[in-house]
Amino acid sequence: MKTDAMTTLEHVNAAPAQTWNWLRINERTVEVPAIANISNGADLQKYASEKIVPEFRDLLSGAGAQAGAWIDLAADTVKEVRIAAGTSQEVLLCLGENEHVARVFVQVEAGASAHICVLCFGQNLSAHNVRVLVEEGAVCHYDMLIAKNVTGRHLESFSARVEKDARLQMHQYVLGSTLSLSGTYVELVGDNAQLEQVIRYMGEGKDELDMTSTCIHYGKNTKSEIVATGVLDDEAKKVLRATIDLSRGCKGAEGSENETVVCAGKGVINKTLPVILCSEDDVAGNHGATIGSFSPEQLFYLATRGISPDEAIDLLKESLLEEAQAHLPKEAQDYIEKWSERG
Amino acid sequence: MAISKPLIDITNVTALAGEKEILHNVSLALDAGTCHVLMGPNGAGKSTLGHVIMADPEYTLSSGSIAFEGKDITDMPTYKRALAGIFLSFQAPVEVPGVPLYSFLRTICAARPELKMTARQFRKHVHELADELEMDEAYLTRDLGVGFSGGEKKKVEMLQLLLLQPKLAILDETDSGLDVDALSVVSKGIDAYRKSCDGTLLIITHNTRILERVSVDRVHVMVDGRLVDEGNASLISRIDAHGFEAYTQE
Ligand SMILES: Nc1ncnc2c1ncn2[C@@H]1O[C@H](COP(=O)(O)OP(=O)(O)O)[C@@H](O)[C@H]1O
Ligand SMILES: [Mg+2]
Repeated sequence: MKTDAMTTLEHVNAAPAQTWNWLRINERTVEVPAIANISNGADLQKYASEKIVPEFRDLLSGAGAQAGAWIDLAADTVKEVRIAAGTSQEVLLCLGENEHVARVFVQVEAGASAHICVLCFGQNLSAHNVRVLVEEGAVCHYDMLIAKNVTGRHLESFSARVEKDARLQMHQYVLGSTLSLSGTYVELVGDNAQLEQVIRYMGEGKDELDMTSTCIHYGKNTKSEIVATGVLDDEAKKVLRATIDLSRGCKGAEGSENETVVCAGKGVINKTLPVILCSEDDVAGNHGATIGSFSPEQLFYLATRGISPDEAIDLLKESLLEEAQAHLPKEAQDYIEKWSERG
Repeated sequence: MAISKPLIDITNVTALAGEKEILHNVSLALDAGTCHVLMGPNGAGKSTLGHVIMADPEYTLSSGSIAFEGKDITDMPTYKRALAGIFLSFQAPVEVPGVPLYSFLRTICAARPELKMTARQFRKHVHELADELEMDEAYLTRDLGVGFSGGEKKKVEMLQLLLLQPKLAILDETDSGLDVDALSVVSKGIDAYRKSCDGTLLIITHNTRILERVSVDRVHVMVDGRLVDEGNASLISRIDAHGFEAYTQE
């Protein structure tokens, strides 16, 4: 195996409903080290299928088929977790030190509760493909953090199927990494299934952030809420594709997506593709986006307390970091503390 | 004998908002440790004066100068004036989504070397102040001002006043519309500030309730962008009874 052989993964983070290609926002490609002698991204899928736990075979990978297959094959860590009905369990992954690429399957049985937490500290390339089945009445929390000052690249793929009366809560903190690719795909198949997804991101320097979030409503009275908030500074580049698909039969469903981004740097490139697809009458879907910076009044207020305009942006960034820290489970917080102490 | 310099010395300031001249040749000097009240009818320019002292970029000076502790600060930007020890509390404090109150308080404290504290001391201090002002501690983790009532916003302003202990505090309380609770918060805050340090106050208000607990050294009256009168504390009750007619009818 030649160590420098590369594979190009195609259709990564693709938006379900594509727009003009010249906008260069629909999807992207990414170069990763080749696995064995498979140099064609499309061929990866054939080899990867045997790695997939049977119950998860028809659940798509969040970042796309090729990216998912590459992670499945490249994985140096594999977790197959079944959380028995009525019990609860934590699943914690720390990538970038001893483990770099993870393939994870979590089956949260009826009425059970799961807390999945993925922390990424990689200085090279790290990746995870997490697939979750949230069965009837179960609850799943999924937290993901790419820590600040991470200089490596990270590829996140997350997908879930949420059954009747079940709930999925996601918090993704993309605070570092020179290139972060983050693709999530959620199916609300059962009636009353719910998704709450919070995305917080921060881009500095020449950071590149590429995110796709797709939620498909099948069940009746399903609810989804995607809220993204971020700060972009310097020459950071960001793409967010957020799609809520209210498919036929999901009567009474409600979906909303909202993004607030503060662009601080002059070289920032900020692209958002918000899409609501609707094939059902009796549903509510809405999206909003606010692009802003501090208003003159806000800047003056902060200045009267001794905060200069430059420091105002730092304050926003620090607040993001603190929120991420405070939100994560105790074990993850300890880990982050240890990591940041080591510098 | 050396005559001590005033803490702040505003000399012949004429200020504009865009093309419009709002303050005309205003001069005002406040000695350290004294308490002043600025009164005047609506639209007189009182808030503008507060903002000009703080270098709000909304306003430009066409003439005049401002000195603080004997040093010319006319060209100093707002945040440096704040760090030098001037504080302006807002009538209507702004909201800053994305910045929790606690993070904000820690940042403004950390910017001042004279307030150096450990994280634990800071935490304790903030909780004590919140207690003193009867502020619900749940507000500390909320985004600054977002969803706060008028009274809660006032408490946050007073909390900062007590935390920062500025040499000069300008409290802009012009408009009525504050409920009784909020009023007592402000007067409590002023009281605690006066007790905790030898601060100087410029209170912009008509509300005698706010002034109940403070001893006022000097009262200044502003009409149409000019300072037209000045006197001791008895001027407050005179204006309370007769309004500003004596100044507005010429
Ligand atoms: N930024 C501004 N642009 C235009 N006019 C202003 C501005 N700020 C204040 N003014 C005007 O200046 C006058 C004084 O306002 P202000 O200082 O708020 O008065 P006060 O606080 O005494 O009620 C008012 O006529 C007001 O409309
Ligand atoms: Mg006013």
